[in-house]
Order: sequence, then structure tokens, then C-alpha cells
Amino acid sequence: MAIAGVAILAKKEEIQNVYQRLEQIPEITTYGIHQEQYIVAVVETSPQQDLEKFLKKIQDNDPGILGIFPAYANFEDEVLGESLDELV
Amino acid sequence: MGVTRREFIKTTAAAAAAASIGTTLLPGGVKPLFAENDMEWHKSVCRFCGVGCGVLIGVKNGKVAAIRGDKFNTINKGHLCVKGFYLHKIIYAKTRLTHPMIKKNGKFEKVSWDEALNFVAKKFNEIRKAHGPDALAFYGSGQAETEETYMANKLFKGCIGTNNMEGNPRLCMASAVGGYLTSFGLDEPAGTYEDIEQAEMFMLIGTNTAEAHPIVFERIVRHKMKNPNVKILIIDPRKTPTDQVADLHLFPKPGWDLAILHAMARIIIKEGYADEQFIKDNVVFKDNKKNLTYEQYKQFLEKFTPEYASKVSGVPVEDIVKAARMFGQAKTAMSMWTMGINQRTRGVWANNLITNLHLLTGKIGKPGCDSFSLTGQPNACGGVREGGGLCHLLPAHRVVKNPKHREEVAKVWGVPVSNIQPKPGKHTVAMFEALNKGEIKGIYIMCTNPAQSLPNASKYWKGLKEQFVVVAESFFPTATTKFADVVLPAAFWAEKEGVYGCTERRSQYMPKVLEPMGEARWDAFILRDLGIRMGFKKEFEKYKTAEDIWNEYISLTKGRDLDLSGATYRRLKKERGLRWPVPSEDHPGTYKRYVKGDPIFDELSEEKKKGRWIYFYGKPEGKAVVWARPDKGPEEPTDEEFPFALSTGRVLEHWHTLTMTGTVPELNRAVPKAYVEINPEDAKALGIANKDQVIVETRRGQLKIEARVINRPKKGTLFIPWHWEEWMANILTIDAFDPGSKEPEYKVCAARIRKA
Amino acid sequence: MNGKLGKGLLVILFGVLLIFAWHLQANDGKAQGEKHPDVDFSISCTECHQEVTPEIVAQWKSTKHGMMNFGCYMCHGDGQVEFKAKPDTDNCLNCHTGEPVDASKGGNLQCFSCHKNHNLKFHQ
Ligand code: SF4
Repeated sequence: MAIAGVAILAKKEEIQNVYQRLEQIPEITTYGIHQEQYIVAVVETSPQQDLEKFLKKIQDNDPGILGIFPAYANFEDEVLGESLDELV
Repeated sequence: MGVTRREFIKTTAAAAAAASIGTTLLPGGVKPLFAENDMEWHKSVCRFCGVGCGVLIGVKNGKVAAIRGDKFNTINKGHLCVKGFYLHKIIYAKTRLTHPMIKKNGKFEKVSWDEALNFVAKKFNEIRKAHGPDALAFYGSGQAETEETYMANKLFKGCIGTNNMEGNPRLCMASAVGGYLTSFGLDEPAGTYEDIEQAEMFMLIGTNTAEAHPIVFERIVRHKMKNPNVKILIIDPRKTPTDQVADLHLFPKPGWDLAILHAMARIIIKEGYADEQFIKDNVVFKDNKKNLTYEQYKQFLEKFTPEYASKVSGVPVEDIVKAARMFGQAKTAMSMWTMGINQRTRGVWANNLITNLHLLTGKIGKPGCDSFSLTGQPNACGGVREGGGLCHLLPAHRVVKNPKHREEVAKVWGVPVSNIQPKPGKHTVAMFEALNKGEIKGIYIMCTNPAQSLPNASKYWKGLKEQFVVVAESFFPTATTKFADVVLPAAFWAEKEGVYGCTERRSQYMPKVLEPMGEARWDAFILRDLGIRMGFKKEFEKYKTAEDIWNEYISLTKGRDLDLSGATYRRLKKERGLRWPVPSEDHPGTYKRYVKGDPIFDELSEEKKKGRWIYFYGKPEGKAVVWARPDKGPEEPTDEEFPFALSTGRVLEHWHTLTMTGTVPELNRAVPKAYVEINPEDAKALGIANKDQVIVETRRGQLKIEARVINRPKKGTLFIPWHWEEWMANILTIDAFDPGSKEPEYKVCAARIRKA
Repeated sequence: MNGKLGKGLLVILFGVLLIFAWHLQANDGKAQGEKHPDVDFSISCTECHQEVTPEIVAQWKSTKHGMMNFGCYMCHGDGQVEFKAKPDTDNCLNCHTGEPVDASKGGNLQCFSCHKNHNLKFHQ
């Protein structure tokens, strides 16, 4: 699976609605609205899902979203086959 | 409290995402995409065309890594055309020349600078001693910096003592100079680019502005998009990308447009569009021999009915009438032209006739009004026209013929005035002719490629082959270096500092941000060191920096019409150029000449001005000249044997002989090869299909080339872009030249075409 | 614990590498192996695309970029030396330095996120 940090750019007037809609999506954890037009979020996809396609789908399904910009991604469990739910 | 790896990674991911938009959730983060990562930006000027766009050179780790439009430069406001866009890549071209070389037994061998310069100095001195100074010549460029041309001028005219000192602006701007001098008494336009946004009408004649002066075109497009009432008239035998904004296009037979301009003048007067008061106050009339009265001029125009002009030019009568009315009705009008007017055996006359329209309607000297010649090269105005880099000129719009001028210049140069000959030297075509004949035995060629760019080029290879040829260039090989005996590696743009003066009288400073590649040196210092080795130590050793040369040059402009004495390096380094006259360091420069705000106009006595708002101070009584020039066609009209009129020109993506743009993969992709444009009707009649190989032939040579069947050239005309050595269009062009400006008629000759 | 941390670091390093690759793919389009099909490179981009993707050429032509002849190569590369199917926005900023949206504040914002298709219509 992949974990990605993304900045989501939304239309200013729509941003509250977009935020609520994003919160309904199980793969997404939101981290607040910033500068009136960005939503910081983390996306966790299952190994069967292609992260890029997933993001594109979200964007295409939500007219309030102008762009999704990944800043960070981590695929380590896909690579090493380890469980991430251990304490560090 | 325990944290799982998942949570750890999630927080890291969120922090990174936040940081990417410039917010912090947690300490740390990633760099935003648009970060400048330690790029240092330097203000400079585009190396290519006469528009003179401001650029920023991005330097990182001692290398030029990027280029940007300079948004604070009022010429281009940050925008660039495709050539300027790739400028930085050219610095690192594989074809950069990095060592001096001397041809020994037919092969170039690397030598030291000492050996190369000593060799050239010795050869030049031998020639001078045996055959006199006029057996030597210099051929420079409108792309050289003002400082470089200045040094060459001093070495050849002031020290060696020959006026055989020319440059490629002879091939591109000389007719415009002749036009301005005869119409206004002084060279270079009255207005500036600022007039574009205030003009109601544009007459673009003999210019493919979209491709040859793209950022000027962009400004026109912007202006028209905002103001749809703005009218654009094009007069050109070829449909070009400039037509995208045309309201009316007149397609004259190449070389037959003078009658149209006269016919327009006639309609303008007859239909009451002339500004009679302006004419009374500010204009005199002349023909080739004598002064005329206004009435006599009108009489002269009687011949030029729209029907006559239509018959001569092939343009429909109603279009000529429409064009004249468009010009007459507009409150403000700007005309622009370039090679289609200048590169003609009657280039000066064509220039005059354009200016006539402005003088008759009083559309000059006001915002949004000007007869505005577009310059081809970035420093043709600054270095060569103003700097005096032609065989009849001396620095700061002076002429060799004038004893006072010679004296003033000799004094500053520190040479005996007798060194400067009063007789003009050989103009470009005559110079290469003399090389062929062996009258000139040694030539120094700087920053240009005449073996490809001269008209009827192959004719002049003989002289280049036989005589002693020194080429100072940044690139190797070129068509000209093949003939060289010595090649000297010249520092390229960004590797040297200096000043470029663009179309609108604006001088702009370019910094040195890099050391020259390999052993390359700055052209001005190559000339200085050559001068010293030729025995002119006292005259040359004083120049230590570019600023030394510039300061001496601007001291010569003091009190002249192009007064640049306020344009010091100190100021130019800070400002986005200054438009002369700038008589002092606190002067802001001049938007319009001949009117209030022009320091020379402002200083004229009231007695002289007699209450006039405009005063053409280059002419007696401040009156500009409306010229009654005969209409004359091209030197080589079409006939049965050669039924097509051939024209050459540029494409947007390339520059001159490809030594620069040919090294950029993207630009090569855009236009990879030459072609001949032929009208579909003509093609059909000759059985030529698109992409067929064809032979284009003139009385001077023939060329095998790909046909492009396209509705661009008027029926009966052909067009070839001239950039490629492999498909050298100048093998075909004619070397007949304007008797006044000595500028050759590249734009029209007779040709035929057949399937290969 | 130590060994685990070491392994963890390794994992992160590996992750970073992957991110890098993915990042390029997702953002810059400079993915390795992106290659323009081998075609007749002796003709210009537009000459060929006029025939193979006429809608795209028409869209481009309708814009000011088309008017100014900012060719395909300016965003997509020349096709031989460099090719970017999905162009990045670095080149945009060489000219659009004074635009109303100050892109330098945009973080990962890309010009093409808002200016879409070949007519680059805003917020399409
Ligand atoms: S318009 Fe001329 S000066 Fe401006 S970027 Fe293009 S080539 Fe350079």
C-alpha cells in the first residue's frame, strides 16, 4: 500500500463542501484547510489500488477540486512486506 | 505514548504536503516546486533581434542554467519569443570556437593567442606597407556591441587609416537610414514602442512582424484584442502569420509598391484627410532635383490614380482606396516596416513615401503616431548607425566627409586628423567586389557570416578564398570560417559586458556573468591587442575595461542629436535602458523627438520655433521633406524566361545563418529545413506537389529544395527562408543595390522553378 | 531496536527513492523511458500533428500561444533529445513572470492544473 501526503487545491467558495466530501472517503485523512484554498490530506491506498489513478478519480469526481499535488509518498510495505502497525 | 510506523509516516506525509504550500504542520518539509534553488538572476538583453527584449540570466554553480523574460523591462514585460526562450542553451553549443587557429597547409591548427595576433598584425602591416591602408578592410555586425564596433572603427579609420570599414547593417538598415536622413535630416525614429498602445491604426508594410519582430507583434495583438476598433493594414506580397490580425491586406507584385504609396497620398489629399495646417507649418516638398510647391507636388501625384497604381502593382483599385481611407480616417497611425522596404534598389525612396503619408496627415510627433522602422539586429542602431560603423560614418552620427567631424573624433581618439580619410570607403558590395579583384588584400570579419549572407553569395567566395581573411567568431565552423586564414575565438553573449541599442533609440546594458569559454576573448580586447601589436600602443593601451570604451564613446555623443552622455554604466546597470537623447545623468531619456520633452527641442529658442509644437531640427527651418520620388520597379523584373518573383526572409524560430539557433534541438525541430513556398495555383500549373523536390533557378545560380505548396505567396511569387547553409538562398539573390543607401535588393529577383 | 531503526531508515531511504521516481512520473512527466514514437523527424511537429491530432493543433492555434507560434516543442521537448508527454511548468515561468497568480507561492501548484487542454483555458 502507499501513503501519500497531498495538497488539494479547491475553489475558494467550494472549499468547505470539498472538505466534507473528502472526509467521507475512507482512504483519506484530512489535516485542515490552509490559505483558504488548500486542504492538506494523507491518502492511504491498498496494494491493489494505483495511487495516481486514485487521485485522478477523486479529482475528476469533485468539480470543486482544481488540483491534487502530491508532496510525499511512501510505499515501504509494498516493498518490504512488513506490517506498519508495529510500534516504533 | 506509542506511535505506529503508519502514523509516523502519515504525519510525515501531511507535513510534507503542508510544507509544499508554504504552511507548517510540523517542523521540516520539502521544497516547493517553484523554489529558485540558489539561482542568481542577472538583468540583460536578448542576443537576437532588434526588438531588444529584457531578459534575466539565471546562474547556478557558475553556469547559466536558465533564462527568463524581464518583467520590469517595459519593452517585453517579461515575455519572450521562442528564440529568446532558448538563448541560454546556445552558450554551451558544441560548435563554440574555443582556441585561436591558423590555417597551415589547408588545415586549421590550434595556436596560442600570441602567435595568432602576431601573425595577423604582421600580415596586416605588410599589406598596409606594400599596398596602402585601403588594401585592408573590416566587416562587422549589427550584433556586435557598441564598444566592439567602436574599437574597430578607431583601429581601421583612425589608426590604419582606411574607411573600408563596413558591417552587415548595410544589408539591412541602410535604406532606413537614408530614408530618415532625407525626410527628417536625422537618423532613427521620432517615436518609440510606447506609441503602439496609443495607435488607432497600423500600416505594416514589407514586414512579417509576427516572425521577425515577435514581441512587437505581441504588443500589437494585445492592443488590438483590448481595442477591437484598432485597424491593421498590411502591404506585403506574401501572406504571413502577421495576417492573423489584419483588417486589410494589399498584395503588390514584389518591388512594385511605390505607386500604391503615392496613390494613397493622392487620395488622402483629395478626400480631405490631409492636415493642411501641419503641412503649411512643418513640411517642404522636393523631387529628386529641386524644391516643389505643394501645388506642384499635387500635380506630380495626379499620375498616381488608384487605377494606375492598381495596374502597376496588381492590387485591386478598391483596396488601394480603402487603405488610403483607413490611414486618413484614423486619428493616430503608426507605420512599421523592415526588410521588404529596405532591401530594395529603391529602398530609400520607399522609406520616404511611407513617411510622406505621416507628414501629409500630421500623424507624427503625437502619441500613437510615427513612421517607425523596425531594426533587424539587436545593435544595428546602437553600434553601427549611432556608433558610425559604416564606410562613410564616424561615431555619433558623424560623417567622414565633414572636416569638423573628423577633427572632433581624431581628438578623442588621440590620432592625427590626417589619419581619417575624407572620402568614404567601400560599401559592403563594393568591398567584397574589391576583395574579388584583389584591390583589398586583407579583411577582418567580426561576428557575422558574409559567405552565406551576402547577396549573390557564391560570386564573392573567390575573394574570400584568395585574400587574407581573419574571422573573429564564437562559433565554428561557419560558411565564412571555411575561407579564413585565421580564426579567433570570441566571447559570446553573457561572457562579456557591453551595450546594445535597439529599435526605439534605447541603449541597454548587458553584464558579464560567465568567464568566456575556453580561450575565447572579448572582441573589443582582441581588436585592442591587435592594434597594439600593429604599432598603435599609445592609442590602445589605455582601454582597460568596457566602461573605459563606453565612456569615451558617450563623450563623443555630447551635444549631438543622439546625446548619450547621461547614459553612464552606473545608470544603465540599474535601469532598463535609456532612450536618447539623455543629455545628463538626471535626465530620464526621451519618449518623442522633435516635440516638447525632447531636450533638444526644449532648448531651441522661441524665435526659432515661432510657436510651433514640432520642429524637425535636422532640416533647415525645422521642416521635414515630402518627397516626390518616381515610381520604379525592381532591378530584375520577371520576364518570360524567369517568370517568378523570388523573395527571401526569416522564420520565427531561426536567426540569420543558424550558427546560434541551429544548435538548439527544439528550434531545429520546429523548422528543420529550408523549403520554397509556392502558390497552389502556380504549383498545379507546373505539376508540382507539396514536398516535391524542385529546382529554383535565377540568373545567378540554382538550388534543389523541397516545395511547400501553400496559400502564402501571391501567385507568381516564390519565397525561401534564407537561414540554411545547405539550402543557401543567397546563391540565388541579386546583388544590385540602392544607389543611395547601397543596400542590396535581396527581396526581389526573377526566378523560375521546375520539378527536380 | 537499533537494528530495527537501521532497517527503518533503509526503508525510508528506499521509499524516498521511490517517491522520487513517482513524483517525477506524477508531476513532471519526465518519467524515464518516455519516448516519442519514432517518426519522420525531418518534418516539424505541427506538420505531422496537423494530420494525426488535428483537434489538438486546432486548439493550440486558437490561443495566443498558437498565434505567436510557441510550438509543441516548447512544452513537450523536441521529441528526440527530450520528450515530455506530460510537460512540467518550469518553462511557463520563463515568460509568465509577472502574471496575476504568483506561481512562486503555489507550492506544488502546476500551471497545467488550472490551464487545461491545448487551449489552456483557465479552470476548465
Ligand atoms: S522578440 Fe527579439 S529580442 Fe525579443 S525575445 Fe524574441 S528574438 Fe529576443
